Amino acid sequence: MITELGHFALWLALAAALIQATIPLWGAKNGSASAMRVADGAAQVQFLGAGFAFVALTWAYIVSDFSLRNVALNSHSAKPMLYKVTGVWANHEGSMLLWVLMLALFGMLISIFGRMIPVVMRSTVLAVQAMIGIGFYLFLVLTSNPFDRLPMPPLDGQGMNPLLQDPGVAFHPPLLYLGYVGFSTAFSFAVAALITGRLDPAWARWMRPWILIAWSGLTAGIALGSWWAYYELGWGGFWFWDPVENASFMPWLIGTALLHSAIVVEKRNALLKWTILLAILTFSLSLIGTFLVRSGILSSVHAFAVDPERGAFILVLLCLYIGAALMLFVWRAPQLKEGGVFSLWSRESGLLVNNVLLTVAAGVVFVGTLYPLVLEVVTGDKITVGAPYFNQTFLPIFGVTMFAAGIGPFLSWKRARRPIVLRRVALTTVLSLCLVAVVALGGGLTDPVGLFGIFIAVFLAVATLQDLGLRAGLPGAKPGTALRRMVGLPRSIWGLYLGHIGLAIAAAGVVAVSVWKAEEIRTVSLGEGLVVGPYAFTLETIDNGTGPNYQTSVATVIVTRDGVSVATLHPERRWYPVEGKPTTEAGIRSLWHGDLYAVLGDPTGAGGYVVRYYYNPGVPWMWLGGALIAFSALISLTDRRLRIGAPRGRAKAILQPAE
Amino acid sequence: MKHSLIVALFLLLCGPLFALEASEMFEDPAKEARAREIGRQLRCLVCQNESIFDSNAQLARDLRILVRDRMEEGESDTEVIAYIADRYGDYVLLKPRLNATTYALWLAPLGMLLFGAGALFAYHRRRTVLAVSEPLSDAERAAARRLLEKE
Amino acid sequence: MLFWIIAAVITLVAGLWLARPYLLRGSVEMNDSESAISVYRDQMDEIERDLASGLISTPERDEAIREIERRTLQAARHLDGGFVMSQRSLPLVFAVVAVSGAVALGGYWLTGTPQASDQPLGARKAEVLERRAASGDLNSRIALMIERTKDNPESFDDWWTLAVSYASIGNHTSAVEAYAKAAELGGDRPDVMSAYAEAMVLANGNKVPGAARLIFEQVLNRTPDVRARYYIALAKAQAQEFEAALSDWSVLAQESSPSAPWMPLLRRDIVNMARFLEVDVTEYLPNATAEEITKSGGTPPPQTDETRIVELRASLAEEPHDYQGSIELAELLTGKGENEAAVAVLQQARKNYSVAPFVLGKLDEAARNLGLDMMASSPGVAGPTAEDIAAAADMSEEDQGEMIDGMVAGLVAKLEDNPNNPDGWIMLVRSYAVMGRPDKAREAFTQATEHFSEQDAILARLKAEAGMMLESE
Repeated sequence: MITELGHFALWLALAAALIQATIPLWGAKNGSASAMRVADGAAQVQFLGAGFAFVALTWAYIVSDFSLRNVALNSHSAKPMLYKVTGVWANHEGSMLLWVLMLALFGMLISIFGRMIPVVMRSTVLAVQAMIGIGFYLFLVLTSNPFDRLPMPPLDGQGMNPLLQDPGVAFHPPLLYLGYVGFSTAFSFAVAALITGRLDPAWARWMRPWILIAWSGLTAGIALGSWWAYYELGWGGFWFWDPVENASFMPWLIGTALLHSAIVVEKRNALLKWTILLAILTFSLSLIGTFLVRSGILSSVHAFAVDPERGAFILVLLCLYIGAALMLFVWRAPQLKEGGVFSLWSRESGLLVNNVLLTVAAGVVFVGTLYPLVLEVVTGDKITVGAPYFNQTFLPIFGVTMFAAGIGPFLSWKRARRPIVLRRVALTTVLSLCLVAVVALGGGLTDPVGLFGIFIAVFLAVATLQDLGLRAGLPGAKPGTALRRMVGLPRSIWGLYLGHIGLAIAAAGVVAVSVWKAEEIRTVSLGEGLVVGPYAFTLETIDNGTGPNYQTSVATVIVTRDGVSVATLHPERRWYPVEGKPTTEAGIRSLWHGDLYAVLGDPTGAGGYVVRYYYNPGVPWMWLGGALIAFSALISLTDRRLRIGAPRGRAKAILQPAE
Repeated sequence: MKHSLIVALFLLLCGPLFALEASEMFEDPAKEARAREIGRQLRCLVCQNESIFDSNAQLARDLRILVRDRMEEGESDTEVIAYIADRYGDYVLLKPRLNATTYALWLAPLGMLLFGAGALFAYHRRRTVLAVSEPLSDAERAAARRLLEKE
Repeated sequence: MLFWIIAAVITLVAGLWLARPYLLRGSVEMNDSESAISVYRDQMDEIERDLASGLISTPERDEAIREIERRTLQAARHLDGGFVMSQRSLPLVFAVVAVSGAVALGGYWLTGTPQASDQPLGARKAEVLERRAASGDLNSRIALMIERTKDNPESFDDWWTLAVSYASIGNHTSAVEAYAKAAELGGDRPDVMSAYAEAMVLANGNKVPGAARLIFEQVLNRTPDVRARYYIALAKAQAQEFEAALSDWSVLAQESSPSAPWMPLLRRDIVNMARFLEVDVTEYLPNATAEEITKSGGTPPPQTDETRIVELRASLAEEPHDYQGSIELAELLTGKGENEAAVAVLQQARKNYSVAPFVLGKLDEAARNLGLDMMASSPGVAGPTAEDIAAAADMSEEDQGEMIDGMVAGLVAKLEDNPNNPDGWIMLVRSYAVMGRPDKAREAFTQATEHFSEQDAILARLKAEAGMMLESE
């Protein structure tokens, strides 16, 4: 009964979405207060429906109800409870249910916490949000219904890919979807602005919290996925320019541009149309990402052609939503009036440069990801676009973007004084060069590409800290005053600093591990040592054991430096009998400057084992940087000025004659 | 490898082979580094975007051995890569060759960058013309201050 | 029915919630300029702060302030929204409830299965097992009986059924345990005791252990149990008392009805033993057929056998992993009376297949069929042990290769016998691929896909896990 009620709740959510997409829109057009207010209730009903459906499916997973096809294909009674629950979204149907749940969640949050948004705008936004929802509810119930039943339920399920039975990847999809789907709010706000013709600084401010949440989630999701790949796939790689990764990276890049251009709208009433376009593009790329991952087109164009039902459905939705939004844009955007004017040397201009660079970077990823698909469809030629292509095209553009991010905050709004800016850039450059020289001499580093990469990261960090110092009144002010000023800075400014510092730290980590990684792959016997960079790894013992649903061999590897013990690592090889698949669990110890990383391979006979040992400098910085970036958005979210509902009390006062 | 198969058969199971086997490696570290660099440029045909250096698949192993064989014959990096691309098609190259089908791919980034820069300058040129605004009267200013200072 | 009632109530509540603005009066503030002005207010604050920290100069500040003032005035011009009252409208309430209800209930009616109940595994296990056990699936019956004996460990019937089921699938070791329990609960019933002892024999590789012989003797003291008589004779044979065994069997055969189910087995043993002792089989088995007489060594084997033996020996020397060849050779050798040689062949085969339990079973069966299990040098019955596995690690590369060949051959045999084993097929394809025999791998894969052509889930697994190996060729 719970299962069937969940199935029913999904349809109820669709019904609510239908109401939400129509009546409030009509109300906004005709000034009917009742009709507009329907949006709030509908968003809540929709969320409760989708939420109950999700709970029902989760329940079916928890109690191993194999009469559901989805549960039978993707779960197993012997799986630990955590992975029974996370198994809900580790498959196509469940992940699409999570997708619509997120969509409904954002709708409901807007209906509750968006009270400061005028009702015309809010109801239009919710109506657009529901329109997106309708398409995906239909996709779910018609092509990917997670509640399909089996007439003869099997005795046990088929299990879940053991690679996914891991805490890192278990929470990767929800965070990623928080970002992907969260950008639907940007899309809805943009379309609502086009429909209502209302576009001003306040609009950017209403939209800002939602894109901050989405962007933070997407950042964390990408970082978590990368971290998982790093420790689970077993060769120390963290980013492969895989189309699935690119699918999440493109919305991140454009979303970052949107985050910055929305600031220009709020502060300067400029770049209005551009921001609208970015908001539409960001969510469009999320949709394209969903299409790429969910249609199966990535594994093979032919696979898609053979079983096109799901892929074609999403493709139609994609074209419908993106096409309609872009057409609306072309029709309505000329009627929007751009406000603030700015000179070439200004913060606005700097943010515009940042936008162009990020958009081009996303464009490069887009081209590199889709080019092989398009080429195969058009000419039948199969080519591969892999890491070397992206390294040559994307990285230079992103490097320039990081320079721009360092210089940008030096520029003041509207019209900056060029000599001052140039002086500060020169100071930053000199300081950074000195620091890089110290690091190079101290560490004995010579690789020119690596040092240049480090220089970019240091430049961004120095520039950001310098700006923070200036805002605090340094070097003139007394330390106490400066500290007070620093604490008093608006949270959104702190968001800027933390985000940029995080980016600098992460970039330094990426450069370090790419250029100065030390690795060793050998067959060793127990007790045999290997030298990796400055460290010596010794394989001490191998023990066999049993986990909840797997068998395992655990190695003990002792790492020393100059004879002093540094760490004991426990790499594992696991075997999951139900799924018939092995996994590797790397043994990792993070030091402040890098990771010691050991992987246990197959035994070779005669008591030998193949092992892979790495010293990965900078890797902990990548995770720290990623966490800082995600956190910076949350800090920005707590800015007083975004505090939701703040102007409510004043609304009535403003109608009174001024005192 | 054989032992792994024995263990696997014992338990009626088979783990994937380890990505890089010690026996495949060159003694000379410089040569080994070259082999890895080449390996990172070649795609394992049966995997998703993994290079043969990173992949566990049998084919990746065969290709790694092929790379090393060609290197033993004294071929340069580009010769080895060209040899493999000729046998397995352009699909095997993680970094596509520049030819008629890939001009668009390789020129797109530069094109987009130039277009972006051009659009930026065009925007500024057009906008600066409008940069004058009419002044406000004192009464208007006072009204604005009233609206702004109500707290 | 209950489901539809609940669904209808939910639909009604949800519909009323959706239509709430049409049910209740309330007002909505339409003005939207204040939020814009609050943004400008914040911008003023920011300008002052920038001025204080010296980021902008005073003229820049004044210019910025003027711009904000201008925008504020512009925003204030929209300041005419006021309040709009919402209106009650029962027809609209009805329409919203009806439309949402129609979509939700109608949609569900299209794709749902309202009569299906929740079937959590905890509630289903026994039911599913019973269903399968009833249709003759022994493994399910065993699982069911294990559950039942866990719940009710004092039930003789359940232990008995479990033991018999184990014995039917050839798991004699487990059968022994279950029979022991049944024997304990059954109060020394002779039929139970005798089945128990038989399981002990079978679990011991058809060698009668002392304990089993003791039980058989006790049973025989109480009732003329055929099984006990047969096995006691077998025990005698295995203790080298061949004549005694032969005469016991002979008496048993004469006292049994010719159509008794144990007769074929008994006759075979008598024939083998007669051949072994080089006596006239008709003396012990008066109604022996011509074929049996031939088998007992009455007539010399034809010349063709001789050539076949040479052929088999040659092929086995080249490719020792051919258990069927070994069995055939042993059969031919025993036919010639070369029992020692036959034993040697089987023993060699056992060694080659020491890690393939299925083949070992086949070899033991062959030994038994030929009566070779009664010989002093008969091959022992032990599956692969932990030591075997550990020893494999120390083998030379060549020996390991041989071992793999042997195990793969064992796997092939096992799959021939029971092809319903997706894991086995996947393993086989992989093994061939790893051994560098893509043609064999492809062949195995094709066989597997044909066998499972109707089972989509298994096909998908095959393709995912074995097909991958083929593509990489």
